[in-house]
Amino acid sequence: MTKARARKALARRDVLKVSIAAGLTGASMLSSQGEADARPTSSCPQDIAWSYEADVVILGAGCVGLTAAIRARDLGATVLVIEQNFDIGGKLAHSGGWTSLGGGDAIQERDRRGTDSDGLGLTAPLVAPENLEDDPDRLFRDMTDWSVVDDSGVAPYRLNDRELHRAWADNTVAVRHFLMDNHVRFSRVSGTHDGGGMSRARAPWAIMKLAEVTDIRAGTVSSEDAGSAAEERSSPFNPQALGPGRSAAGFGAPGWVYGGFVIARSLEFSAREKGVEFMVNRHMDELVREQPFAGRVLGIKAGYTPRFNPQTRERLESYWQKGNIDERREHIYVRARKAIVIGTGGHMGNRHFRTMMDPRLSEPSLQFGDSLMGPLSQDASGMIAAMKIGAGLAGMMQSYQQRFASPTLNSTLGTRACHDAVFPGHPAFHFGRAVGVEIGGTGWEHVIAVNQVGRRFYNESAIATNAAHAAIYPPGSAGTKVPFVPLDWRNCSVEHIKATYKRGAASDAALAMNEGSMPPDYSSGPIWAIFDEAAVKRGGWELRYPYIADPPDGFFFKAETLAELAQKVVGNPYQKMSLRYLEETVARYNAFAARGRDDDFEKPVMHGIDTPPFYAAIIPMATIDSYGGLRINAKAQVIDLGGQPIPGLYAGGEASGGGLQHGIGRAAVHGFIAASHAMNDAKVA
Amino acid sequence: MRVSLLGSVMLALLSLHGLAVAQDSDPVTAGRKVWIFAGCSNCHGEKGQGGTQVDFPAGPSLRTTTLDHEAMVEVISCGRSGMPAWLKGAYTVRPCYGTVTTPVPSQIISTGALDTGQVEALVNYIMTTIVAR
Repeated sequence: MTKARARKALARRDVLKVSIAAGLTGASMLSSQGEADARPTSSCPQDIAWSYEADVVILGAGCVGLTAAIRARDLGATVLVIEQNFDIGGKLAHSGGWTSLGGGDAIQERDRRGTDSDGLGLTAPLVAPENLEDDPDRLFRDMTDWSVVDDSGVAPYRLNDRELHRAWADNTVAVRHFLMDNHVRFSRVSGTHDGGGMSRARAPWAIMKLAEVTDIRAGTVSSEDAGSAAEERSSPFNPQALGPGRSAAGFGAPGWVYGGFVIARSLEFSAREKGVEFMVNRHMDELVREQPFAGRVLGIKAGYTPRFNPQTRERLESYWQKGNIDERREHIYVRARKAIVIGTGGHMGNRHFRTMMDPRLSEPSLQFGDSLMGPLSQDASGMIAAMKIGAGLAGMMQSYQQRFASPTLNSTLGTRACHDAVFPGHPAFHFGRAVGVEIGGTGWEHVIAVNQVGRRFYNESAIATNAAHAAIYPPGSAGTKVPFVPLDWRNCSVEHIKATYKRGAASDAALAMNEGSMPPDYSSGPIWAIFDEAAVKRGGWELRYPYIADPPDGFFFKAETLAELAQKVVGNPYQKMSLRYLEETVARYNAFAARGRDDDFEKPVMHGIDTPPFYAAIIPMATIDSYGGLRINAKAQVIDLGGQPIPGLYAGGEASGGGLQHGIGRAAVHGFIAASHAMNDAKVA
Repeated sequence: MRVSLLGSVMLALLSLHGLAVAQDSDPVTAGRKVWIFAGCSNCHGEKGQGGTQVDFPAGPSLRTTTLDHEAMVEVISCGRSGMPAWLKGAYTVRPCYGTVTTPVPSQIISTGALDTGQVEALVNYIMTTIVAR
């Protein structure tokens, strides 16, 4: 193992003597009016008592951070990764692992030739060879093709920054090799992930083979570590949300399982083997620059942010410890000799920040995925810290057009963690508490949806009819169903868009003000599914642990009468009042059901709600991603308000803006580019 | 309902191959294994109630399907728009939807992951435990 490189206690001065506002996260400073114009990060950076230093300091151990860490280490840097959560992986670890790269990458070529060059035991390719012929120029053209219109009427690719996506397309082949060199295996290409371009198939799934033991080098995972949705168990190894241990047989890899954890654990393993060091439980609060708005970036200030098991009060620990620095001081300073890479994720966890471009996101009960990654995840801290030293932003409007970043009602009921729920076995289950009851698209006929005062607001059966949120590959499967022709507007007809445009209407109705909306912010409040025992039987829903919380967590209630149920819901942290119109609402709905016509919302099929017990389950209003963030250039350098790079500062993934692309492919390439240029630029400097 | 050549092929093959799957355990358990192996829940939901996973097409609820046994065998085997073809050799070796063997249509992704016995076990599982009767 490479010797630990980050050195302690470079200066003798007590860290507490440094005259910098202490104890405040970036998010909390900006969220307070009085703190918005906070003091410069450091008037005297030369007085700072740096506790650690490394060539490259990486903020966030997700897809950007892990990729950048290994790349920088491969290029000879000492690397320290700072992660606010207790474990490594960030959002990458709970994603599906569908990795859209392309440009003629190694997996496209393997499948195009119809081989199984690594002897994985794959079946025949899923996609015809001509749909795998690709090159960086084609990929770049695809990424800026204005004519691809999805079913929501959005042409996402026209919104991609051309400079950034030229650089992206030029690095996808290298990043596929990089991931494979660091123990990641891939299934057959099965299509193209959202935002990965339309004219070719580019996305295989990251896979591990089920075996007796977990062996990253061999690409194997034990059933215990993989977890199993069918057996209702997760593992500390795999925090894949809503479905651990998923079979990859459908992607040409029988006997393998897929998931983002494959990439996260493989890269983490490789990073630790190569000598990358990690400091978990620590949140970057401030960036330190030579002068408030000029000069190089020197380092960071970071606070101690452990998470504890709510039952035992024991501190949660990372799955692997090798290379960890267990530093528990409240605040420390870490110096970066060559570069800092910001991979801190998005901004959906910061209500103040997320509403700067989209007032719909003001609803406090919005779910954004904090059970797995913690209350400080996606808190915009990377963006805010960089803004305080002069960074600009890019593409902030793009969240508004993307369903993944729009508040959306979810059909997984009764959970506070609809997009990041794990099964028992992973520590995050202590926070999510419930996997949720999935009622699917057809379940809505069996429930009514009511707002915080107990009134209906929409045709429930239309809640799930949101049109497709992305242009679908293979081309022709949506839209006009004619052969796809790049840069041709006839790929999707106006008539088709008109026929399918329903995006967000139910969520907009849910977010409307109601009689319970109070000053000062007039919040809409949470949304509840109300149903009876007969609905449970018709739907075949399993209202039990771990799908609902036991003991109850305030997101699911049961009562013998509607009156009792209407009172009980105040046990939810976001529900400030009883559902005072609930009995009246149900009586009116039952009358509609009896006569087969819904005068209020034209719901086509209804069932009376009259068989006790009665249930109230939260209908999560949630976002998945955020778009828009720090302005970066083709080198992933952070650009200041004057259009100039901030020396030594890099960013990528959801912390950066400039594209409507989503996912692992985007973040991995950003991390790779950032580290490559950080080392190269440092050499030049 | 379209008459399926595949159905005839299936019946012929069942006695040779299909029942072999069910011999291991009861048919529902065998079908449940296929359900998990093929990852049906990716698109159709964990309990077949209809899919909502962000990385997958929203497959329809199987609880409310109107397909009969034979039609479901054919759709699983040969796919249709948005639904992969799961049978090994679908289209290329075995005819689909009453046609002679052809190249796989461009809008169909053919996984070739299941044999006829597995498809039969899967349909039995879906019909007995998921479809609401």
